[in-house]
Amino acid sequence: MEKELDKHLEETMNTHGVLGTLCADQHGLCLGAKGSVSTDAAGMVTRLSELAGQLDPSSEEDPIVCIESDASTLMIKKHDDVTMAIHKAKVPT
Amino acid sequence: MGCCFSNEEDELLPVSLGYLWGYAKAYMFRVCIEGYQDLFSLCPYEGESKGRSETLLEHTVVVALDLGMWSFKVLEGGRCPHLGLSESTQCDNNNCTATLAFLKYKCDDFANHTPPGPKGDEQSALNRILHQTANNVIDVSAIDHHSMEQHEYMDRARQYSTRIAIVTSSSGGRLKKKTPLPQGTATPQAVLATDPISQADVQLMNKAAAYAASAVSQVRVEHKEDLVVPFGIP
Repeated sequence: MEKELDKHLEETMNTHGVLGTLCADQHGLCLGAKGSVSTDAAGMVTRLSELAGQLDPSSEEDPIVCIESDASTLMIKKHDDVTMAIHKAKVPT
Repeated sequence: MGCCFSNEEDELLPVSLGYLWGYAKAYMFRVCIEGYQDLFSLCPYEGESKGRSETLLEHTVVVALDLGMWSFKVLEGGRCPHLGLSESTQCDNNNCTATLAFLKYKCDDFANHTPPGPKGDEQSALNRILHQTANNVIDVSAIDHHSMEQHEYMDRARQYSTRIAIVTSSSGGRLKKKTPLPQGTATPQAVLATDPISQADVQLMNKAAAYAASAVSQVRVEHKEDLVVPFGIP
């Protein structure tokens, strides 16, 4: 029953520069994880996106949280009840 | 008003060899009478004695003994030297307490008499409470002020700090908190001045999140076979 989600995660992994991807529900349950992102991060990812949303409650759109390091960026976005996280390598400029 | 004991026929109880105990704040009196080893409790205005009900008339308590009924009467204007009670004894309905507290008849034979039976536990319990309170109460005014000399104070401070250092070092990571966040960059202005994530990445995220949400909404349970299967019983 999770075939569709799995396929989507696989397609995301095939995108250029993506190192890992994770999908979690509104309670922090990991629905799927691939690549460099560990399943343990599901809870934290969900919570981070929730907290970021509280910064501007009047905004209609959910914010994108970016955790940047020297080599890569972790991007987190919530949509409806699902939180998506993509770990992407930084393109050297 | 004095106190004495009398029986149903108003005969005075031979209490010359007995003694009366009271409790400082209690409403009960314990009586021990020579020849009558049982103890019983008197309750000035209510209570039970040995499981028998009492009728309390004003200033009169009827106490049941194994050997018969004895009443504890408060006489007007009298004294009861046998019991060591005097006119100053207050025995009205509500306040038969403090002045009767711990009065003992001066009788050497009974000076240390410990009453037998279950009532003895009350006395020992009282004593225990008394000793406990005495131990627990700290008389601040009685404490003598011991002032330390400077060198002694410094010695102690040094000793305590070395002990603390030993304890904290020996316990190791157990007491330490979790690893704190890394130091981060030395030039935050340089980091903040860099470009934020690219538009391509924003679109990637938006698309990926939307697709993931729709994929999750399509999760369905597929009925493959029954969960409950009847066994074929021949």
